[in-house]
Amino acid sequence: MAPLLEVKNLSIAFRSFRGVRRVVDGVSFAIAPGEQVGVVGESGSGKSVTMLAAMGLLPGSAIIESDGIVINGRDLSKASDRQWSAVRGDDISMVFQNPMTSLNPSMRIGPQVSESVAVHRRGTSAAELRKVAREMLREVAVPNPDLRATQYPYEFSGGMRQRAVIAMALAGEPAIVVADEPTTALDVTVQAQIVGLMEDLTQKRNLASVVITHDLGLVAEMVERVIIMYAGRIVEETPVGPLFDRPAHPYTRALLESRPVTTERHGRLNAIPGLPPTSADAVPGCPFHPRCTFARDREICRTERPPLTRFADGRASACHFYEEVLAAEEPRTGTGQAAPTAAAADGEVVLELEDVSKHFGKVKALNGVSLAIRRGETLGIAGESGCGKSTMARIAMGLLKPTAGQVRVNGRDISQLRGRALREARRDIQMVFQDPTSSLDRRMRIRSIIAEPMVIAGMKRAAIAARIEALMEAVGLAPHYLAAYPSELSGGQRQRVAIARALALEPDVIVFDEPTSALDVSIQAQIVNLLDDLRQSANAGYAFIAHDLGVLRHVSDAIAVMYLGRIVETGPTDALFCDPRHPYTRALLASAPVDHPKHRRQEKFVVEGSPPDPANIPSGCCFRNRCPLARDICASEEPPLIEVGAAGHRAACHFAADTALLATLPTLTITEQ
Amino acid sequence: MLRYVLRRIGQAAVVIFIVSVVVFMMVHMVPGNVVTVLAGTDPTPEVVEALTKRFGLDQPLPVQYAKWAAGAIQGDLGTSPISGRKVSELIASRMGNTLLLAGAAIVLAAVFGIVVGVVAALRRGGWIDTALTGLNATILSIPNFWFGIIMILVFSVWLRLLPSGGFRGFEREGLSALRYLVMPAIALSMDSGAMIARLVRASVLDELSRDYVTVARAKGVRGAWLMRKHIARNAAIPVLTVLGLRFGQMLGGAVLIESVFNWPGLGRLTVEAIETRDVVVVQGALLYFVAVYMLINLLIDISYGWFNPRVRASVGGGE
Amino acid sequence: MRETLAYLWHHRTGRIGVCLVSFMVLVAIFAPVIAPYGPNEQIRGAELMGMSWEHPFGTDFLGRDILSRTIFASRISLTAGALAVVLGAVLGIAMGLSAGSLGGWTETVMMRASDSIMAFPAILLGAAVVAILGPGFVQVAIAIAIAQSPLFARLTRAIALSEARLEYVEAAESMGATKLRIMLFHILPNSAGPLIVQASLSVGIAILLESGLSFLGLGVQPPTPSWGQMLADALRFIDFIPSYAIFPGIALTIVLVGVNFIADALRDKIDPQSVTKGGSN
Repeated sequence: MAPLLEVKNLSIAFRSFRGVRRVVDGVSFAIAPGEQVGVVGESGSGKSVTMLAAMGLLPGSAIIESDGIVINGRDLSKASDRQWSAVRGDDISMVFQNPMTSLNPSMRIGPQVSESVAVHRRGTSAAELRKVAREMLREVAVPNPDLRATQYPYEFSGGMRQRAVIAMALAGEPAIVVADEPTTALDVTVQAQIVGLMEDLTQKRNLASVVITHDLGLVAEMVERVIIMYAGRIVEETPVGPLFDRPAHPYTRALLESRPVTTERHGRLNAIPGLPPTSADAVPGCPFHPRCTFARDREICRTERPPLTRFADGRASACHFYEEVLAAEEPRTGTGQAAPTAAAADGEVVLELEDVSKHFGKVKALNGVSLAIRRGETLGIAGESGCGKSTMARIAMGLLKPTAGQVRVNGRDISQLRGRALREARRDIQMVFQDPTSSLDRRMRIRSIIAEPMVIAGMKRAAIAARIEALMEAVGLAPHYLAAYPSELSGGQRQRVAIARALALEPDVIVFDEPTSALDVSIQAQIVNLLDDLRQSANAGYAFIAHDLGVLRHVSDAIAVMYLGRIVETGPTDALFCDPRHPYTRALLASAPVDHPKHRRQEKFVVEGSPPDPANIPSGCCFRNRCPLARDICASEEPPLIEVGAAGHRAACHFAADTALLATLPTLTITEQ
Repeated sequence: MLRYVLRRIGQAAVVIFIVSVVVFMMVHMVPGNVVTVLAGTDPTPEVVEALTKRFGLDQPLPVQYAKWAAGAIQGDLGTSPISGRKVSELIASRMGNTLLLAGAAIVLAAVFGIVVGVVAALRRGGWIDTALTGLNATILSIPNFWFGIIMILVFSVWLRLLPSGGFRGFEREGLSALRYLVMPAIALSMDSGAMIARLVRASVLDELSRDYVTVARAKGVRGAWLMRKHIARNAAIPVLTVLGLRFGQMLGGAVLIESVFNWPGLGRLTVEAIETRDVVVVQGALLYFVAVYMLINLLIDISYGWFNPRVRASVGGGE
Repeated sequence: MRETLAYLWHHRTGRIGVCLVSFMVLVAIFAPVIAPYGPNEQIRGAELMGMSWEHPFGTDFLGRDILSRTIFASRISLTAGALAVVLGAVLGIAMGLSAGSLGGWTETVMMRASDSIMAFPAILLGAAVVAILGPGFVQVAIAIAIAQSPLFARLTRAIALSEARLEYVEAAESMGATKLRIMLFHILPNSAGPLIVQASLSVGIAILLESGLSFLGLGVQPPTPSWGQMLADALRFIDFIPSYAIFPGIALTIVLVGVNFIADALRDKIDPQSVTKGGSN
């Protein structure tokens, strides 16, 4: 069958005031009708730019060269915007990453959904268009489509918006849909809904789809064939099956080995050293060779660009030594034993929250949360947006005052402290924020940034200088960065600076608020390893907030799962992952992308809807309106956190002890260590 | 929405109150008050005392303020001791002329600004954009009252095409009175026009870079449709805001332009009053300007609701 | 500072701006050397003369050389503009910082005060202030400074509020930093860029206001020459000596083009987050 979309030898460069920067170099691929293809790469790999070029959507500053961009047999590489417009929305369409910005805020949903029909089939009557919108919304399972079509985007939740965006992309009945990170901006449980929806739709409509993603889990779940990109080139092309067991390119292999997974727990991750190149021709020879374990000192890797070589049916690799890579043993996530967790049990409690609540007017962000962290222990905190985990972090830090309850750091209640006493107490508990770009003052040099807490604490100059040196070494940064500004550092390096700053005063508690979620997979592994080292050496208690369950499983001794400002389940990491006793925990685990296609399941437990507004919390159990197990008792009685199974394992569900009933909500197969 | 509107009205009332106090105090700080002006160069103490009594200047300041403010709320801004006319009548007699000039200028500015701004944005980076942007920067740097003088020089003194100033109204001259309007309106519209052009260009470019515009293009939307449905509406909000504010400022009297062209508007009235130390008129006129400006500001804020479905939907509701 | 100059020099219109402004500054400094006559030197029998070799711009109704007066007038414009912006910026930044950092009652007072100033047409506000303080150079600068201060107050507060949302402020707070320290060491340095852009825009507005007040006879008083005052004279005698109106206006425009080009170039580099409403009129 002739391909629907064929891109031949595509190169893209951007003109800027710094000169011309090449971001895509000689990319060719073809998508057949009905085929599901994943394009995988980290930021800067050129994956999104390639697909935007394939839709004629790049801005004028892009220099595009190719031997053809063929859609449905028509070569559009030289087409005008008018010709492109005739194809876009009709033959090929796109779903974008961020549903919050993809919809026009001042236009009703209905007309936006039916717009591609309106532009491609001029003269379609208004009634007809309304019908199209309604039916499309119904097809993407937006409840009450008649009403919803007349609403504006702000009246839709994130998940509903993404459904509307998908409806918009499909309304013109294209043969191929490009989805650019379609689930990245969404919460875990909503992600699973959208993945399910896209699978249904592609099957039902016999659609071809291209899913652009950084997430190998999503690929394992959704596609048949994978294209891996690195530094503007395709480095590997393969059916999804062999990818996870027998990768043919060292980069693919390294990516697989560097990601923490939910199903198993390991010691150190195999992080990829170094940074990806900034442009397609920044590195001579093979662009991956400086970070490659197979290249070693081989001359050819440094000097000669490896061509994309086809070696088996549907498989290709751009590595000089792909046979060696193929012959290597199966890739493993991490090496060595899991970090010992026993030490934690006998440390003294450094941070304790007792029955803490925080209300902002009607919004009940936090409701009676209690937890304790011992010296040497890491408590992972999981939950979706709006569950109150960031509010809790800020209360623990003394940045917000709780409405009720006590916050004790080293046994001392800090929630009632003010002024100087509060400022001094804050030094015992430090925080590493999600985005190092905004948590570091962009006008200060690294030296001043790390020194600041010590200056405020009144340390002597010589002592500060010595401590800075030690800290830089501890976080693995070369001393010459001390004179740099944050903008001169990469994201991972900046996060190292933020960690050094948090360590400066040797606090008793460190709160990590999503410290790796702004980072690429390969850099994330480096930071996770650094945190591992710190936990071994520094003598503090750690709270680790994250939405990525793989990272949480990897770093935490114990986990607390939060929903609507409450802790619904808490316990030792393995107990919680292997024997989850709250339906919400089970939903989270089931919704996380699988880490190997062999874990794809026919049936899986996906909860409907998204978390309710914290200003309007249901009576009784807060999860009951989404819970498939809900009975009358759930509406009338709020379940307390009760002890279940292993020591310290507690869940707030009326059915937490009923393992047979819980088993009707299948999660992942998770192996105990 | 309702609460929002009420809050904005409250804020405006506070500002008008502060301004009224400031204006009142300001005028009383002016060296030489009504009395010294009216009493002539060498007044006898009796004359001074009589005049002081007549204008109530012997009473404590708060009492004087209260009287004045109470009058102002009822639309009575006092009587000019110099011309003997009521301030409200003086303002009313000039308001029409100011409205005419400001209206003509704002229409010119809007037309120029929108056309130039949209063209520049759509030809971004090209020579047309460069030329138009340069033109804007230059216009913004030319003092409009000087440009007015140059226009008089060219069109009145040299070419004798247009009258150099004055305006006697349509009742006396019919439509040919418009000849008096041409130059002042152009001069007054210049910098606003250039500023609007700049803003339109920036807003359109900003819209073009939005995700939902890319999404629309991915649906096959282009050209006039894209402009009308996805760009115009959202880009219009900042533009209308600035147009409204500019109009409000013009209604406060285009003092310089009115002076250059001897245009009988509110700005001239105020300047003349300052020159003759006619404090009652100065007080009244300043208070009137601020009230008009605040009113327009308020209307702009409320009209956001019309463009923002989120605000519009919550009419009567909370925030 | 040097970095900013280097940037301006490499900016297409920024370089033109720097050249024009430097030119006028040099003219102002060396006015006594350059000008062929004294600013108030009256040449008997040469009243209201057109352009000639002795008087390239002509002479005014008192027989004074227009070229010389135009040159000397640059001193008033430039110094009044600079002084007004410095005063206005100090006043406005103080208002904005106290509003942004202290919040509550202080904030309400400061913001309503700046709303009130903004509600006046700038030139009338200037005229009223001059009416109270009396005409004169310093009084004009103070009047303009008051009219400009709300722009700085609003911008400073807006930046302070938006910076306060960034996590580095929370990070500083969690180290035990005081509000004052956060304001001075973090927020103020991060506001510098937009404030500099606002200041450069304000110089243009201030010079324009000064010339407007002078045009109305409310600026520096005769015989000290200023461009606005000369333009007022030019309008009175426009039928007798048309060229009078041209040169003071061109000088004024050159300064404004220079200042605005510099401001635009700076804005290209550091876009102030909020486009402040309004302007002069």
